Amino acid sequence: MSQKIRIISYSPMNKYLSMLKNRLAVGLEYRSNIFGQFIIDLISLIATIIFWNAVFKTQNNLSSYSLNDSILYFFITPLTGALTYIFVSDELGNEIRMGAMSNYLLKPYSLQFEALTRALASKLNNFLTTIPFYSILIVCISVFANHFMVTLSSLLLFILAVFMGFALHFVFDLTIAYCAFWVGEVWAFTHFKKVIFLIFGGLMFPLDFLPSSLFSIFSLLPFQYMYYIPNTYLLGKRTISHIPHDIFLFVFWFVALLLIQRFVWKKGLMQYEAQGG
Amino acid sequence: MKKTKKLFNIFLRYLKMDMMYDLSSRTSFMIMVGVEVFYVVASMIFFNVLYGNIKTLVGWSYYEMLLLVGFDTVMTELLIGFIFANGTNALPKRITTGYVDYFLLKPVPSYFLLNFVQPYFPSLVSTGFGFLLMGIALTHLSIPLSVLTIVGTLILAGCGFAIGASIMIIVASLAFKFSDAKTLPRIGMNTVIFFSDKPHHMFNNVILKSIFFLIIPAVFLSSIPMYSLTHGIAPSYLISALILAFVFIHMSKKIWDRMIINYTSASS
Repeated sequence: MSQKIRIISYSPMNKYLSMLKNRLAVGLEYRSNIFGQFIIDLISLIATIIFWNAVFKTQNNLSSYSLNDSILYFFITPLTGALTYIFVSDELGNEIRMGAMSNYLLKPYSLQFEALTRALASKLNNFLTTIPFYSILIVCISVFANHFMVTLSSLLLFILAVFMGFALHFVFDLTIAYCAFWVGEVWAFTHFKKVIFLIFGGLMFPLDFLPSSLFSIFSLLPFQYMYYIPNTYLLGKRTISHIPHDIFLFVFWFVALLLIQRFVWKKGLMQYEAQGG
Repeated sequence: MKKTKKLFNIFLRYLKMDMMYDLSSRTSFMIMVGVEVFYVVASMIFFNVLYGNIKTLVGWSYYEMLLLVGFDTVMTELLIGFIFANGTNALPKRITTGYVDYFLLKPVPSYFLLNFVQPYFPSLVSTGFGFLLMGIALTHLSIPLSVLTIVGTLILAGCGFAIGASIMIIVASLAFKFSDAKTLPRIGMNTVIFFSDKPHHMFNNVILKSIFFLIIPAVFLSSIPMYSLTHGIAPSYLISALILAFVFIHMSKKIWDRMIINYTSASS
């Protein structure tokens, strides 16, 4: 009896789609963690509302922001974070440190693309879990404050800004993961990234609160794409006239960070050693 | 007394071992300390930006806020260093990997061994920057400090630390019930530190007061000790802090003992 051997040819796209499916399944396995992150964001929002309420007790405006603007800015922040924040460096950094990266090096796919599937899967999981909650929360707060600011154009600009933020963050996070080639723990770098976003990314306050001299420096950096730029597009504080400048700066930083990432990867691989089987 | 001495000796041994371990890779250690310093700098930038736009915040001047931020840095780093980093934060992973067995086999209470004994040394070093901010603030505030005020403030701070640590342990211990609940320790920590750096005058209505003075009394970690240092010790705060510290420590022990029953070893 002749046995037919079926040869399945996998296109590069197929293998990455399979990875994405696996990652999606893994991400949804422990749903309590997604819920936990939602609770953390909620605690942060409560602290923020209490704080800014106290700040605006003595004045009506800070820079061009009213109390409602500020509160909405901070309510949009977790939504933006759910779309742009990347956690790849934690996991990948550990795998490099523990020598588990050898498995990836032996397999016929790019580690960078594999990391991209992880990042995309976590974002897609957010679409099923936290993003609907945050969206409803923003709508509720907008209605409650009688301050509805989302238009179709602001939403489209927000989506474009989120895409730019995601891309920059991904390349930046990969570079942080590669630090594990030299140092024992990348935890400190991940924490460093969060602190950078707090100040330079507009996570702690809208960059408009800064004095103009500092604002002009901060607005040249790539970190503003993580929170400040998407948030201000959705708030309507940034309009379509800013798009050419934002895209130009994005392309510049994306290429620069990509080159740095490739350089660190090549240097790191030369440094990498793993024992055991 | 003998038991306390034994636990203290174990703690000192672990502290020494941890210090040696952290200092063995000096680059990582310096990076970790550098990051903690950068966080303090970030907070300073924020308050400078804020006070560039306002004169006082719920009656707190810039230097009073600087004192609060400095002291909160000290307290937060102590909580991270002694309880969070290698304690509550590591608990979910220790549970899922069955590593808790290793601690349960030792003749020391698991409450102590899993939460306190592995300090994170870089955080303890970082408290120095908090003290620096406090020093700058106190120089500008020029408050006459009496021994009684200092002792009272230290008691309040001790109670605040006990309350903060207890809340963190209570929330983290739920990980015995929910498998791989990695976010629980961070929920516990953030419940405390997101509110501890805010002046307690911000919690000015009945609901907020009930929550932050009674249910999650985060105001006792930094705000009330620093307000007492600058304005004198109020007996009502001192008595409340002592009662709350006692209640929260007792509660965290009870909940820990109740939760650890749910642990089933995943190892071997």
